[in-house]
Amino acid sequence: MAGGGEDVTGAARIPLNDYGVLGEPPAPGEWTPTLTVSVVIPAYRAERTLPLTLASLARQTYPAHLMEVVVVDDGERPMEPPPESAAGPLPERLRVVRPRGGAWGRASACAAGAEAAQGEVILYLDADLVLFPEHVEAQMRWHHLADYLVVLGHLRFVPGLDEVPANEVLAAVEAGAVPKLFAEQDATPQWTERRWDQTDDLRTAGFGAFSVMVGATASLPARLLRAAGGLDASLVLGEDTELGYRLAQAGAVFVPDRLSRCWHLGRSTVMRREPDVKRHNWPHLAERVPSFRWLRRHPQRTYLVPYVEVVVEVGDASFEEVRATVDAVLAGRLPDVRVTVVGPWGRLGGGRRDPLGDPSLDLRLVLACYQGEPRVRFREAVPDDCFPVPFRFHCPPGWVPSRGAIGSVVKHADRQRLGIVSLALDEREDGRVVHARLERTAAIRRARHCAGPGDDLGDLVHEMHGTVWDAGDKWGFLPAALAPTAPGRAWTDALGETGALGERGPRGKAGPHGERGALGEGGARGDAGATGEAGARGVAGTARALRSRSPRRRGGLSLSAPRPLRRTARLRHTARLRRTARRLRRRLRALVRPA
Amino acid sequence: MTRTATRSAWGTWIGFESCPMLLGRLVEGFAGPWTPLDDVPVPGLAAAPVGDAGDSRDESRDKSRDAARGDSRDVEPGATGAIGCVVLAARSPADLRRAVPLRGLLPATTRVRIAVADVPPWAAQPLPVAAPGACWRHLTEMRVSRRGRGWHLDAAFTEPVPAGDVVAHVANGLFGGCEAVTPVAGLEGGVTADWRPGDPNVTLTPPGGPVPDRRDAPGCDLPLRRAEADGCVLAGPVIAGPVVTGPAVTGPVVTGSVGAGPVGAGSVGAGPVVDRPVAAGLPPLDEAVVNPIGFRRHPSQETAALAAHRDGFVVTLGGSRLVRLPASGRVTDVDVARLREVRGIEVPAFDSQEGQGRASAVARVVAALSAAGIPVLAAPDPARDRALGPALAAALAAVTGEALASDLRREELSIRLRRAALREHGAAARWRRLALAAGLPVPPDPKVSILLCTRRPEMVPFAVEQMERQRGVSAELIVGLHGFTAREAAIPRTRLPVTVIEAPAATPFGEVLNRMAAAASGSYLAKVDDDDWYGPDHLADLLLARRYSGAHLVGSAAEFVYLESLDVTIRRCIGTERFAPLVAGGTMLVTRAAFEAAGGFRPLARTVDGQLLQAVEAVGGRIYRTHGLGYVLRRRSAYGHTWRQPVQSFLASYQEQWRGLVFNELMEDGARWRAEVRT
Repeated sequence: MAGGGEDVTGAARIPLNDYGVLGEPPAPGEWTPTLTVSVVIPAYRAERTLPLTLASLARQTYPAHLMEVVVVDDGERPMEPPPESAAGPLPERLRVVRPRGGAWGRASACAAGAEAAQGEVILYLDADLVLFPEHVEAQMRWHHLADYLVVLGHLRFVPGLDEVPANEVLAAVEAGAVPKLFAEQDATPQWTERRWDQTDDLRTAGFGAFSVMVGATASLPARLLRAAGGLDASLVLGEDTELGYRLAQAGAVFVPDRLSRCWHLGRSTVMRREPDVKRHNWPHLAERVPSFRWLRRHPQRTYLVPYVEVVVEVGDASFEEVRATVDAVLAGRLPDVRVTVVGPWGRLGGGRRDPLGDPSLDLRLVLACYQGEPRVRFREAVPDDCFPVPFRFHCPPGWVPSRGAIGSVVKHADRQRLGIVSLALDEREDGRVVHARLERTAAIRRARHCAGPGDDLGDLVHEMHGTVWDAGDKWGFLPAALAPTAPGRAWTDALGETGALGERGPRGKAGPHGERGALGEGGARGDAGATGEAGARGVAGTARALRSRSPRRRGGLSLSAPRPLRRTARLRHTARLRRTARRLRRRLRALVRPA
Repeated sequence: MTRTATRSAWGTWIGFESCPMLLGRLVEGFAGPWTPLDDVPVPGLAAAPVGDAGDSRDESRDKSRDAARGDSRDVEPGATGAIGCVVLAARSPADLRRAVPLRGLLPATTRVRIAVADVPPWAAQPLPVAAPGACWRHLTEMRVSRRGRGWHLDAAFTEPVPAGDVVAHVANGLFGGCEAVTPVAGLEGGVTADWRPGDPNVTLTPPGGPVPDRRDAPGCDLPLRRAEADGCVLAGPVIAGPVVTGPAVTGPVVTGSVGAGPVGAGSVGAGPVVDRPVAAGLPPLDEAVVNPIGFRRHPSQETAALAAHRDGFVVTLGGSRLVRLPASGRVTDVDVARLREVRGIEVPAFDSQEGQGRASAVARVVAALSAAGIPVLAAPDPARDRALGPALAAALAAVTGEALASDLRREELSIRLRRAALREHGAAARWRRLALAAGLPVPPDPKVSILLCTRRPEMVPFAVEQMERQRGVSAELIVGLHGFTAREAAIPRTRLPVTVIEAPAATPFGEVLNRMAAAASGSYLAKVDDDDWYGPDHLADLLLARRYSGAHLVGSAAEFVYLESLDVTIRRCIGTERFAPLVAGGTMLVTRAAFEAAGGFRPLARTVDGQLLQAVEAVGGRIYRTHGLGYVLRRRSAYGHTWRQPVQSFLASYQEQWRGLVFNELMEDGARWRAEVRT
């Protein structure tokens, strides 16, 4: 924590979103707060309501010396200070800031407020709220229990100032009668409250908890906000949902607190113009929140934030092995993937060399192979994680996922609420197990956050999210040599370069690039049947076949050459069927109309 | 022999107390009259007319006997002249076994029809296993046919043969060669048959009368009397529970100490027969029929409840009645089969005002359910728990509703219950204790020779310790050092007698094992692996499984596997508590006879386990796979073990997975065993 001193709260290990392990928070008034909080209020056209909000902030039970209020004045022109007489009490430490350099919008205002804030915790508030006296305290007690919580306040919509005079509200605030200001039954709950009810106040919400993140009243440690990258100022609306998504990827836990109450004066934009808000937000969120799968129904296109980052470490693998893996991933049914190929790219100089005898030829070919593919990028080292991409999938080169493999592993991890899914592919002589691994960014980030010195990251992920081992062939992973329709083989075989996979011999003969259309087709056809067939052969056999470097016997002959033949044979077969059917039809007709 | 006599038929039943309606249409062409086999009197020594004045202490019994005689006076078994056809209707294979000790009550006949109304799905077929030179040489025709849920057997002979022999041979075929229970008992017929189910080697005694002698030998070692015959029972009011009198043999005679608890060791002296009876407690369980075979690890139904119903009991689930049990509390294999899908059975504390009889009947039900591995959620009931014995009562107390909700915890509890029930109330264990109490010599516990062969000197201490912790068996350890000598390996001190066999590395593995088996002196051989973990009851559980399954070779499933290279423990989906052709190689326990019949291990370097299993099956042996909770297979990361399966194939089908090395509760691991992982 920024406050210094011994960090003990970081050790609280919360599984999924089940913050129940923290125990009951202390009752308001029965504990001693230590954390400082900055209340950040973005204000736009809030001249009438803001004084009420500030007045209710001045009447908080949270110690004033631990609380500052930062109002971000987001209006076209700087705010007029309210007439002294009409204004109620103001919080002790109040600042008003303006967003810098023409930035505008709620997101920019929130970002500017966070920048100006000095507290260890930032509490975002709308400028049209009237807080109950324990509002801040109720949220703050959670932040003393763990330092990666996002606490959500509880609000009810009540009639606006057109119906209730402002001075009446002010009087109630000053009299400490905020709770009695409105009757519970006259107030409309926020849409998120239903989700709270359904999920035991988000304890059972799992990975989807972030989607109820609403910026009207929400608090979080400043450090967590920074770790998640702050607010995305490019968004005008829906920025709180997007922030919630990134906070979740950073390992945050979402805690709703029903004691942190407030009245929201007037109806929200979402309530008034829901279809318009959705129409506006969805294209923006589709680009940035991959977990909203229903916004990404397109079968092919890519997005700003991919769903899965596939990491292929080149190591000492051949060009053909790397290409088989990368091509298979790109041909998969999950389009919003990004492939990061990790290798010593900086080693490749541009100097004079023997084109075919170059010792780093394979590396050069890998680099050359995906120059025009926007989904493939090259890195020198494997990054710690792939935030804000929700999943990272490590696939060893030479192993080929079937088209649906990665998608189904991700689904499995979601359904079983797992942090890491490891797939054993093969076992080497030295006992090393070749494996693919799916990592959930949220789980890795939280584990890293909670890890003390000497803690094993894997153990922590297991404790909080669960890890599991499974068999690779069960999920559709095959060695490249045995995945008969690996895309990319079609054109190499056509050039007579058979059996190059898993073999270093004929690597010099790599031909020019073929058309991608042909590749896609080769990958699409006969996938299911071929995979099943190879799978039945048993992994032991396939593994052995991969190790024994004599693929000549098998080669392209049995695997690729008969393909077109078989296809024509099938055509001939259908022609025969059609003929038989025609004859049958004729006979039947004759039977029906004999005379 | 008159014509009418040959045509006449005599029918008797056993086990239909709770469902008499079933009898009506069970046997085609025989409408009755039926005689309960329990009520057929044991004929007196001098062939006195039965049932006149000799034993008329039970009004109802006499009446039924009179009725039976009145209806079929011509074919009274005691009468001279052969009977045309003997029909025996048994409700379940368990009841057929109860008929075996009463075989002397069945008359000789030229046609034997045996109907078993209901059999559990795992039961064998009623094919008679004939002893040479017996009645079967007169066989002309035999038909075994499936009828509904049961079986019918119809055998015709040219000469009258003892129908009881046919029954005994059919029971033998159904259950395999179960070992004889010692000592030889004398029974009075009726309910005393519950005490020696499946035992053809008993001597039937007229009630209260002397035990008839056998040829040149006393009739029995230990006679069992009906309780009614003696007013001297202290274990509660007089019910159908029998008492054991002191041995009738001359020689060392015992003053049996009288009491409700476990019988103390009697003082041996050369005096006259002391006829102070010893209260024998509950009738023992027939391990061959009330046992965990068919246990369901993932039951589909919820917890059922036991309730009183008329003078018997019912087990209900929701509104439906699963089984009805007779007043005696006897549970058969068919009842167990119907209760297999329930998660557990709640047993309330029955009203003590109903008398001691009720408590002991409930105790009998609870003991049987426990032995069958059906978890019992029992409300505390001191009278019942006293009858059950301290071990079983303690195991029962550990059962809770929450524990039963988890399939793994439920299986652990089930195993603890069945161990306690079978060890306390199983027929073999019970008679052993009765014999001890009566001062009779008992045969020593069968010895198990553990064959531990290793190529790795560093694994010897670990493996020996795994065997050292085995409890409840008498064992010896045969250590095979394959490729090194005893000087190179430190064999730790152990309480087990150790024999060391050294073999050069070039000797095939199977050959080394055969040499070790030749040095073994036990009646059972148990093969263990040097790097796997064994629960402390591993061998005892195998012996128990051998007793109730009657199999020639028993083993566990390698259900729990520790994958060393992944640091993951998995539980695989392997069916257990069933007859199966494969068991884990490191858990095989085989009788010496079956081992020798199968020709021992093949002199191969690999797959010797699989080859032994195949050989045992090929020569007609049965293989039984018991639960896998006492064994954890270690799948090493390094190459070079005798048998190898790729690590990913273990992951292809698992039902549960844990991070790290995790033991279930029955493994009773300590940190000591965990630390051994990284050897």
